Amino acid sequence: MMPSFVQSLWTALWQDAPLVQAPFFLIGIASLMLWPGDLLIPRDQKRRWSLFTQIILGITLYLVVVTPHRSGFSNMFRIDTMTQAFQLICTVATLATVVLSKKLLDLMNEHTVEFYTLLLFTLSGMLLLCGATDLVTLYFSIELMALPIYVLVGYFRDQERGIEAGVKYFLLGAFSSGIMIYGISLLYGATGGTTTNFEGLSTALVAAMDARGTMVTLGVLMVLVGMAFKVAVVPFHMWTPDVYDGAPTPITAFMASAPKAAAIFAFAKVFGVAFHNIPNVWTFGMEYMAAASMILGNVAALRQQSMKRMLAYSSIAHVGYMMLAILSNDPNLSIRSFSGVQSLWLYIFAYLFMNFGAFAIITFLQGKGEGERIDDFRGLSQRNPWLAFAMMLFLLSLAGIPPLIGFFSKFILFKMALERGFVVLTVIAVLTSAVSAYYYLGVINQMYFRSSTGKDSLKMDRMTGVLVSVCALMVLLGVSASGWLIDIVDKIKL
Amino acid sequence: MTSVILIPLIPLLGFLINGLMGHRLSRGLSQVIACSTIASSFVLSLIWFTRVLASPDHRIDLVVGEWMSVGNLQIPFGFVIDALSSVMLLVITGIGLLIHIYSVGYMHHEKGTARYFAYLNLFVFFMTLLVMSSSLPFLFVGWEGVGLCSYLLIGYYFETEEAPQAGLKAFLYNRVGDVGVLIGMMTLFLIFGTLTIGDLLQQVSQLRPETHFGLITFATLMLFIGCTGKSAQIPLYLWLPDAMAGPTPVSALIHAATMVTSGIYLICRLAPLFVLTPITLHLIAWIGVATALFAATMALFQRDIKKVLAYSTVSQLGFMFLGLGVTGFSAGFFHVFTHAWFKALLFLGAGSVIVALHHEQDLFKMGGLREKLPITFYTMLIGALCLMGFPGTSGFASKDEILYLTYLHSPTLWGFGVLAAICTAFYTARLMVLVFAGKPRDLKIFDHAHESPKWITIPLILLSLGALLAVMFGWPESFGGHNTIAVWLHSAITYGQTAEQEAHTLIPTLAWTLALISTVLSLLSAGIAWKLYSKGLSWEEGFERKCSRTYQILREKYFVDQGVMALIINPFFFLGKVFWKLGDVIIIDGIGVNLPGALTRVMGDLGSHLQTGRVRNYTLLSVLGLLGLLMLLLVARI
Repeated sequence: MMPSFVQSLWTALWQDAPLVQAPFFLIGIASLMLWPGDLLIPRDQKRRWSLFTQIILGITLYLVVVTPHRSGFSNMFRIDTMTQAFQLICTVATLATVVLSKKLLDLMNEHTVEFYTLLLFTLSGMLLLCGATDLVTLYFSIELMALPIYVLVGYFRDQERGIEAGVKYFLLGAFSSGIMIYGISLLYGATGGTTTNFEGLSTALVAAMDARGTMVTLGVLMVLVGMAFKVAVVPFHMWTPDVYDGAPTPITAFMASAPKAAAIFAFAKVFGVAFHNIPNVWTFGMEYMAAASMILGNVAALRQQSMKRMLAYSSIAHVGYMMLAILSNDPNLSIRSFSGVQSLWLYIFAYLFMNFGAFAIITFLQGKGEGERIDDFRGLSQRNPWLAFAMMLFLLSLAGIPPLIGFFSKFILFKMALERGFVVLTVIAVLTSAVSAYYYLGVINQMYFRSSTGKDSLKMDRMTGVLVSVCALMVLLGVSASGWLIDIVDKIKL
Repeated sequence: MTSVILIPLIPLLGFLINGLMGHRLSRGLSQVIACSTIASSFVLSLIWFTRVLASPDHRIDLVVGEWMSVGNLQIPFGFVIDALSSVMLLVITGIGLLIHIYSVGYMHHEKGTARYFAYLNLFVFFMTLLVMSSSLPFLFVGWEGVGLCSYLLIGYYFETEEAPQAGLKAFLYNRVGDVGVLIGMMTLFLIFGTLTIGDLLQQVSQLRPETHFGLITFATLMLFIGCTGKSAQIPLYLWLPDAMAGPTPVSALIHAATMVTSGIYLICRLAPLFVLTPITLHLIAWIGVATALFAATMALFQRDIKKVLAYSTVSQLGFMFLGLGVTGFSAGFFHVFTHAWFKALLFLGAGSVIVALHHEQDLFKMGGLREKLPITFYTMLIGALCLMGFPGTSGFASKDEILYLTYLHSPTLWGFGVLAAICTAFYTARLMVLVFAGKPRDLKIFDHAHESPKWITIPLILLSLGALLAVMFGWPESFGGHNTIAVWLHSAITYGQTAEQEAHTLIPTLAWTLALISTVLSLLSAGIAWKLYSKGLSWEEGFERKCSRTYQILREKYFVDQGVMALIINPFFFLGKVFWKLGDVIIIDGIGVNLPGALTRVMGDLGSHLQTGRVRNYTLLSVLGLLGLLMLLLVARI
């Protein structure tokens, strides 16, 4: 009896193993890098891990692409084109972070194997999170994703701000995880302990709503709060400015893109599939949260002096826009009629390039001992015209000015929201993006119309140059490829 | 095959080099770069010209990629090389090259010529783009671009008072026309759902004349308004005479040979569309002949040598539109071709005179320069004969073909056209006589005059050869020729569609009679002008005394500029002031901008103040947020 059960379990696991080949490859390699890998590299050669990690991430990209499409692990995990698309964004963002970090770590003399392995571990969490189709897998992937980031935020141990940010992030993250797991258990109880699977919940919750309405409502709201914490939606955004500001700049760029992409995709899946049939419980609250995020994020960004804090607030606003996609998600529609998750992907795809471009420039200036304050951008156009021009492109694109890619993604998102009847929200979104132009243009004003006082011209290093150029080209030419991009996105189905 | 892209791209490269690094390059190097880029474009244009000649249907369509794809609007990044565009390309790059070379000599004493050559290269880039583009939006890019370059080059002498003003004026008049083009384009998109010229004309050929008649008429009218802006026709012609504030080679290239003819090019390009709308064609013919006559009378008593030529250009452009209006598309376009040669020649000759006299442009201070400037005189004489329509010259061939077609259409129109031709002969003869014949009127200027350097004379000689030989390509059938160019242009004008053009009956005797009448009258008027002015200024001074009112009206160009100033510009200034004081300062700045700005700032401060940095506050706020969500839900339920 027993051996046959073990055998069938083993067979099932072995059959499903290809689904998780990329995350498990990452976990395995990262573990090996810690031991015995690190012993083989002399103390003053730790920078080599950077290149090695880049190669590993390249292989991961390949593994993600070749993963077969199906469900597995008793329907707790599923890979489809949409999942792959988000996994690719996470992997590319991680790769960009590694490239971006090298210069800074060189400068601080802080290359350690831990930095890179933590990045790989968190990436494995994201890849799992993208594929999660069960509240349990969702929860543990979120934790796997979040824990290494807490450490990465406080990575520079001699910088108090970083440590403070890391601890703060950890405390609030743990708090929100608590709320979320409580919500999950309530839902599990409400269904009579039958299922935590998304598909299962979508039918089970409708039935449970009649019998145990309060329990379901409370559970759904608690999951909403937990997810809102992870993606930083008002009023659960409070950690964002402090953490973004305190973290090392490449990690800030990382947090604004990769974990956000994974978490918001999971967010869309939970609410688009599991809670899809009980919209009355959550849409109302989510609308308010989206509106509050757009307004508060953009308005608070107006008064910031620090570039990173400004971008932190602006990322809150951008998440507010992305909430529009979650609200108007209808998995049965294609992008030609603008389905939520697809325009969400497009939005994050565009955001990835603008975000990384901007942060690459901030990191570069920080490497020169300046660059965190908006004042430091004064007269950048005289010191390095190309850098200033690229920064202008990123900022204008973030503000959603045509013909840059940011305009395109925003336009599709807003159009879809309008078609779904969210008129008031879309009006708020458009108005707040007009407000956002003010602070983005403020930086451009500093770069172009103020003169720098006695600072020499800046020379770009190769890494920054390549990263900034690639991002700038994408931002500039992305719209020319819009037809092609839409074709791709159209193939992505939930 | 894709070497066609290089035709615009090489001048663009020249612009980038001269524009970005011009101040670091030596003077000679920047000039070599500018001239060689145009020369290579010219060679490429020649190659493509022969290729088009060899290709079976005389048209090569190239789609390089997609420029924009939004909804059902597809705009390809495509080029079309056919008879129309390849001839235009040859004119742009060929005459452009000569003018670039001429500029080396003309701009000899100027500082910062890199900027000048950069703009000139940029102009060639946009102009070639305009004529090669296979879709209207792309054509519009070139259309706007040449306007920009024209603005930059008119205002080239930015230290002077009138040049920047004139540039601004040109730009504004063109903007008015551009709005027309945009509206026309949108209307066409509304009707046909495409803006690619080939697809558009194919749909046009399958259209029954009465479908969409109103909309199509509206679209063509709007497009024609754009053409009146760019090609300086009534009512938007006022900018062209002022544009003479720019350097003379610029006047020759942009404001005589190429840019101002782009309106005619546009109408020829869309000829099958215009054929459907007799109303627009009538309007074009009448506006054309009115402009031709009106501008020719204004040229009669101008004292500035360049102003005479400027009004003459406006008038000749009017002739071209007259040709288009009577469905003589290839005749009109042939006049573009011949006019490009002889008018560029006349402008460059005038430039040579101006240089020789150390920047003196007043006709009344010249005189007797024939011995001093022999090459300039003989080359300009060829140009002048062409302009007058002396039998056998290219100007005769193209202008009298237009007049003949006009007569078939409406004898009244023909009458006005001949009147304009008579005026043309008069002012041309007056100009030549005042500059070259008689006794010098200002000895100080005369004594310092000298023939221009080779940089200037060689382009003049080449241009005069071109002006002479241009006639070979298109001796009209009505005068017993083969008119090779018209036959060839026909394929481009119908755009390969089978739609039948209006056939023109050939009556050689009528053609010869008409030509005889207009030529004899023109030569008579030229002879009178010669007689009157060879004795000096006494006749014109006498005329001024006797008929002071008529003279004043003609000299002051019918007071149109002053009228526009009083009736349009000043009221707008006044209105602007009112809006600025009331609308801008009080309503928009005060209530519209500062109030929301202040509100947002207060809210921003509030948001920042919530950010205490304490974890316990954040947690509290989160719990409050959860409770708030529950409250919301309860409120919503009730």
